[in-house]
Amino acid sequence: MKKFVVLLMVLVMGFSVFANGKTETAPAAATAAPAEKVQVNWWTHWSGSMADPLKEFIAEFNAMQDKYQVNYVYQGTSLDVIGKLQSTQKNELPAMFTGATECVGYFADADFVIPIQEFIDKDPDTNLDPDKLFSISRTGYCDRTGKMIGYPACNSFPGIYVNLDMFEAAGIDPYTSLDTIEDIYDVCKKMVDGGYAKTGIGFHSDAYWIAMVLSTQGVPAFDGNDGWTSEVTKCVYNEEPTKSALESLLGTLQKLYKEGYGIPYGTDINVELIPRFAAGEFPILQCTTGFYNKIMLAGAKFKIDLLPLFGCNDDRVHEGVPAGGCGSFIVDNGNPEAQQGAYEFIKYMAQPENNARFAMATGYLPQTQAAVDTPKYQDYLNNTFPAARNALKTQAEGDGSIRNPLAPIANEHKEANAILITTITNDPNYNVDKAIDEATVRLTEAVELFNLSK
Amino acid sequence: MIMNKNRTKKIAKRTISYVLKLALGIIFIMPLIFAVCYSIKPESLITVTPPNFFTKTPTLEHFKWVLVNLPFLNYIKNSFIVCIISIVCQVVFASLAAYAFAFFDFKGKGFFFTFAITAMMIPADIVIIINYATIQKWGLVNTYLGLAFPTLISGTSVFMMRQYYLTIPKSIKDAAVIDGCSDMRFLFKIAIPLSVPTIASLSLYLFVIIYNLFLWPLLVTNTETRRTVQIGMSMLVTSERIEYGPLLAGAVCCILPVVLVFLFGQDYIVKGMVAGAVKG
Repeated sequence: MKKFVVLLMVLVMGFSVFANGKTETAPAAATAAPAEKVQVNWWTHWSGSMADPLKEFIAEFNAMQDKYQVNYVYQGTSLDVIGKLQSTQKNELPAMFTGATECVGYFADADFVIPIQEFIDKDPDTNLDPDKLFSISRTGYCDRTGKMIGYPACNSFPGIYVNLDMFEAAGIDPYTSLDTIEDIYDVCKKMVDGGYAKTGIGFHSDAYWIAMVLSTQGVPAFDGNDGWTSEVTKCVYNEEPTKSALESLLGTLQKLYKEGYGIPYGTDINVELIPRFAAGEFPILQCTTGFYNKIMLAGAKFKIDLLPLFGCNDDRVHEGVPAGGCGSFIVDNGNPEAQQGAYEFIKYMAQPENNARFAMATGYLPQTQAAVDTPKYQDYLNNTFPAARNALKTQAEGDGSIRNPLAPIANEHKEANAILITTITNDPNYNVDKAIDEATVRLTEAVELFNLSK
Repeated sequence: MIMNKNRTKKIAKRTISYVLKLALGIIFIMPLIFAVCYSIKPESLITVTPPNFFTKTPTLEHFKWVLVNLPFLNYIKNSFIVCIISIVCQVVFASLAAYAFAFFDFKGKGFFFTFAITAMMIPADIVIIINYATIQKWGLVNTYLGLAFPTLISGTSVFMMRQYYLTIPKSIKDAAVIDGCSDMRFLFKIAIPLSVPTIASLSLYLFVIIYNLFLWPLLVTNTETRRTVQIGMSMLVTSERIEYGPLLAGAVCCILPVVLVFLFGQDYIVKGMVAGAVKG
């Protein structure tokens, strides 16, 4: 028995040393048999009911042609998707993935992404015309040379939902009174002190909107003009003009929370903010177009509109906001056929009718005027989501100079902004300049770490 | 009369004790009760305030949605398979290793045991990427073996088994040797049967850990046929739209097997915890 066990252990140890599996080979060509379709794996973070429209598109695309088979593969959150892409061997990579707009700065630099511009340039009959996209969407997916890295699937317009009935009762015109954070404070104060609302405003705790407010203001978060003229090397939160803008934003927010006009920052938007907003407890809710359905499902019975995000102060340069949402990116997995299949599928999704369908199913905004003008989307605007008209108008009028930072640390940026805003709103006595300096250090370290790792 | 008074006092004390324990138990189990009650509520009533546990219109639509739209039962099956592979391997390897550490003296014993214990201190997240690269090189992506590989052995299981084996009196081993029992026979015929409560406790502990793994299964699987239940749960949560009905229904489906395992194995958990606490 003893000898048997010893022999077994030696065999197991020997197996573990030599069981290296197959060496890295070129990816198995998806042309093993002529009748087999080329597998186009699509890694995405969309899941649950958000994935239903995607699966419909996939089924349609797969049925209408016999060359490519697109496969939906859920891979966790958008962070998980990026992490897995970074760690996976080339031959195991998918053909395409879904990535957030604010991460385009990272994708432009990533060795696993093939800019979609390369496919567009080789396809004279393509329907993927970047010039037909809304300017902010085009800019949102470009690198600093103007080359399209990915293609937008949707725009998640960040703005502020307003309860028009409450504004009317208080005698305030929301369309002219919510331009800056100071205006927001004044309106909240008037509404609450006048007895028109229990509290003033609720913010989506996901801090993406802070970077967008800075973009709207026209001030950079990083050097190199936010990465658009040269590579990012540091955060410039504590340098003018960004510092003054942040002081205005954070100082006013701190005052607003100190005086009790805001729902505590960090409150869950699904569990508390939306039900309370729908119940008419407060007049302003900061979030995105994707939440409109939820607000309606929560029983909102008042007239509602979606306005663009506010600026930091009167020095605000832009009226609109940069692009949000997600896009499709093609992966360098060593399989040109699968990559082409990914490109063909992106083309299919980008057709105006399909872009409109996706927008209607998810609450995001379409990417082209042609999609907005489709009869079905017009009907949707008239009967289901009239509040989107303002957002669409802002989106259409926004020029390409309103853009997200082209920085490779989008997630760290969001995290640092979340810490910044939570610190300021939770502690009414926290020094704003100190908080800005801390955020600057945090972000500069993140940039330096990223640049070191390249 | 005095006896009656004492008896009444005893009954009163016992009643109060039971009531307090029941209250405490209900508090601890409240999240589960919450999940079950809200998973059968219509979606529109879930976020209504003030919260109300009961509903006049219970519905199974959320469970139906979860089981129809996601291959949840397949995910649970995969989780169980991975758990079984890992638990069997860990028990076998840990028993063998712990037996050596407890009953034999050899060169480097202290060093190897310290090495095994040190492995317990390394957070899994630090080695996850290098492990993933190894699994890719070995072609074990999308396989049960790839899923179970990092959990085939652990320092914790070696430590637990060794601690139990140290409580077995050396005199039993000596008597067995005198009677002609070989070392391996002693292990399989005496030591392992005696350590069943510890093995059961270890198995339950490992089951909970491996069943709840998310990041590793997400990394090494790309197909629905091999995904585990925690990945299924994460598919019910999206960044901009959380539907609490399906989420809670999924959570109830996910947690049910664990609750059943604990219900049947709770005695062993307690026995396993105290095994090794008292020497001699």
